[in-house]
Amino acid sequence: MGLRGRLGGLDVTVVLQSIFVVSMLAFFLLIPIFHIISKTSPEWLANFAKSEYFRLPPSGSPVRMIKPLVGPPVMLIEGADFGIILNSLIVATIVTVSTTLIGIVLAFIMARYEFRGKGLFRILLLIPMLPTPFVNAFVIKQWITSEKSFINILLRDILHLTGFTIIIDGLAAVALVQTLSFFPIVYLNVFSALINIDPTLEEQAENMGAHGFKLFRTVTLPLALPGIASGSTLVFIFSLEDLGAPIVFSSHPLARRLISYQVFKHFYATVTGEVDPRAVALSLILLLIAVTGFMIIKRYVSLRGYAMLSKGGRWSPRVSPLPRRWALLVYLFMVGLISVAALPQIGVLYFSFAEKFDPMSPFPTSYTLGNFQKLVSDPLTSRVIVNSLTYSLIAVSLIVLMGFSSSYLVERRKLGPFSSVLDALATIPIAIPGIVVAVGYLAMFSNPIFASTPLDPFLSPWLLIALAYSVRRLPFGARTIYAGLQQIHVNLEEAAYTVGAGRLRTLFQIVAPLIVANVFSGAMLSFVYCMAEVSVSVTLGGLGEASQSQPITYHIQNLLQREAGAVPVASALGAFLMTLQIIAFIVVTKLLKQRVAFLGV
Amino acid sequence: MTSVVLKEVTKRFKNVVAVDRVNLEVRSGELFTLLGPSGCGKTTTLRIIAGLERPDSGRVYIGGMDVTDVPPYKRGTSMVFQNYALWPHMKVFDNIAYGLKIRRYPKREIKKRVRWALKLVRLEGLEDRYPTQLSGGQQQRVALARALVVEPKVLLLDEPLSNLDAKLRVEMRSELKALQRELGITAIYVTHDQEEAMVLSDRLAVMNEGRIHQVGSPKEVYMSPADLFVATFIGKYSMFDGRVEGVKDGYYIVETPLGVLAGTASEKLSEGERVKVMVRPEAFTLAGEEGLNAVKIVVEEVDYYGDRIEVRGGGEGSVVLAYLDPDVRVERGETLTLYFKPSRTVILR
Repeated sequence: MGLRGRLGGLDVTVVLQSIFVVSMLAFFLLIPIFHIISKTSPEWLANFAKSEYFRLPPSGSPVRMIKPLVGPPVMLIEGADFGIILNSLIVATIVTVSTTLIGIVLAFIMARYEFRGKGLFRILLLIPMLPTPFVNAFVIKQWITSEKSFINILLRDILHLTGFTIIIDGLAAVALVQTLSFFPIVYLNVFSALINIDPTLEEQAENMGAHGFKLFRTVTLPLALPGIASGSTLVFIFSLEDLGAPIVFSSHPLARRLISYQVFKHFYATVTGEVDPRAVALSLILLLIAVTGFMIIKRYVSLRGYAMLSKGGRWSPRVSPLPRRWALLVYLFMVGLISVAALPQIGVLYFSFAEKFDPMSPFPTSYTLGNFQKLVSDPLTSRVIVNSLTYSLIAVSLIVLMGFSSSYLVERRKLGPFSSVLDALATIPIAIPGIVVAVGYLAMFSNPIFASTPLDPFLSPWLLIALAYSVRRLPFGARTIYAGLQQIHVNLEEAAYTVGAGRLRTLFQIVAPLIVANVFSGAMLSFVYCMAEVSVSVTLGGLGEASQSQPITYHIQNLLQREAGAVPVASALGAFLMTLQIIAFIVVTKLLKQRVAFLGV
Repeated sequence: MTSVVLKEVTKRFKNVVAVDRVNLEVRSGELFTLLGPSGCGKTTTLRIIAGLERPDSGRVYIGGMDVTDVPPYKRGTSMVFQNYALWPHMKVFDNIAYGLKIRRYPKREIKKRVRWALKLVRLEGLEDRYPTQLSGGQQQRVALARALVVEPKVLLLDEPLSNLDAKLRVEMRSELKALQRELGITAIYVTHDQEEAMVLSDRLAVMNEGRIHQVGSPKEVYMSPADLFVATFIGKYSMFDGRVEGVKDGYYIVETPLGVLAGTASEKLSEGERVKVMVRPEAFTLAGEEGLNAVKIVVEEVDYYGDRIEVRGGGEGSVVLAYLDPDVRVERGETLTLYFKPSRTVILR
């Protein structure tokens, strides 16, 4: 049998697509990561045994009461120091568990009960998903970290619920911010899993006598498990790699004791010359934790592959009226959660109109529209917007090409083991923290052979940033394209072959027009994600000459960290990102005529 | 004119042998059917002919040319799919014209040919509809027109009528047959519906578990099934266990619990061999004659069908099913002697 036969109809299209996808992911994902592994020095790994990285028992207690000389007692919630590596693991675990619980309860209420105001809640629940990197953490910081903060004014001074002052800072604040911004990811995944469960499966169980919590525990929950698991995995990894909250709270020493922050900090120190061995070694640890977590959950879910999620929703999902005795509790939960979770977004909008602040209060003293004007008139601010738009457009073009190629090869061409390799390659970026990608790029492309080429990070990181965006966001963009392909019966293509159309022609004239809505939606979502990307932006973005290459998120971070009084402009940039997301959301919902899982962040 | 030949074609999916050393010769201009239960490999065989699957071993010839390594779009075979596979983003006209555009026909020629094809399937005037605006039967015709308009060497049909309702199915069946005759095109038809296969085909192949059990005209397959599978898959029957006694007057003589019966066999049988004796229900008569086989049964069930009565009865552990003249009066519990010709008696291993 010839080569052709063994590869099952190998042709130019397949070869080109394969080479493109594989070489992109090899050069801009795998090889940079191998650089991290090969450049990690054993001495540094030995350092990680020190108490700076593992501290058991921990120092400090998570919650303390302090009696100041004047005024009411203060409750300090900061978290304890278990060492940098354990801190990251613990924060990620706490955030994963709390977002999962909130997400499941919320999804169950929204998917299974009918109640007054549900439509409104559904829309309000979208607010916490709007990306406002750094600014959201900054807003929450205003609400919780001072004696005169919003929660103290509310709980202590107005409602008189607490006789003491609450201050949340350090690791506890990081976990709180992350929980509030990540729970929608679990919610959306579980929600779509719940409404896709064949109602007859639950009806059958009821028929056999199961009801209430027993029914939920024995049938509903196991069937929704894949959705729960994929949501939780994403949160676990997002929490590990998050830089927004640690950077914003870095005025507190505990918030700095996280792997992601440490890599960020030492990434900076490396800019002048060689790659800092500490950043490389910590990246490796971060990578290992993230990949292990990803694999464990993935394996667990695939072992339970019986959980059937049928395509499309042909049946009407089971919805029942909310029982009266639960009503009050549900409303309290919904209103409480949404108002807390939407605070950052509301705050961002609010601050974007601020002109002057009273140093003694979290509220501005005068308002202006000038902040938005600065987005265009201020040279640096408009520069970062143009930069981000450019990077994101390049990244999206690459994502569409790679996503289309890989989805098509995996879903349509039976290429044997190569299909699974390709599928894995296109999924891996989910499990790889952004700062790891950034450190890997620096380790690889700081090599003199790349000097003075477009890939030289010290000349200008623009190409590397765009490439990193495209590789990082590929799984999310590819997902919508893949979903579109799955809905097209393979006979539609085969019919074209049998009347004489070749592979390439069929691809462009039959397949592409049928999934154009999916491709466009995937592109829109990827675009928004790229615009709001943090990890690569604040690391690689700082390289290059004269801050010419900084993207939006780098600039927001800079404004919040360095320039006092720059909060309003940072907020205006946040509002700009939120607007983009809202536009993308509306367009995608209209195009696909369905609620698309927003993966957020 | 185009013949299709399969030589020792085998196709495996993981551990399942979907097509097992299939040899087949479809003659030029005939309507040939692959008939078998679901999962028997008939659709896979068709897809191998179309080039949509590649056989693991064996060769495929179309019009005498080895096309085993030729991609589907260069084979000159066009296919009508079970689900019609009409492109939802194209109007009826564009669906049908697609193959012609690929062949770079001039615009005027394309229009002419599409109109010809639409007339052929009696769908004139629907050019500007989208497939979703058509009924199932209309969609089916568009799929057929799309396949025919490119003047394929071979027309492949994969259960094209199975999604239609019963009445429409019968109508389309005769239309399809007339069309195939008119165009004189070689057609290969896949179905699990034995009545469809009998009515449509010039010849048919009966498949099971990836293997071809018999190839022949509908009458040959019905009257002289090659083996037990073919005999039981096609048509109704009565079946008796027996043992070969010898040969007399060109017929095998078989000893059964119901008496000694004479019949024909497609294979050579040896004396003492255990066999089955199969009789089609319409072969039974009530009038006895010298030299005929006869069985005595106690009638258990009589169903009136208008054009016949179906009599079911037992004798000596066997079940007998006979179609008789509707005028005959038969009561349940009655003992009945049924006669049948040795030439209509099939002995199977």
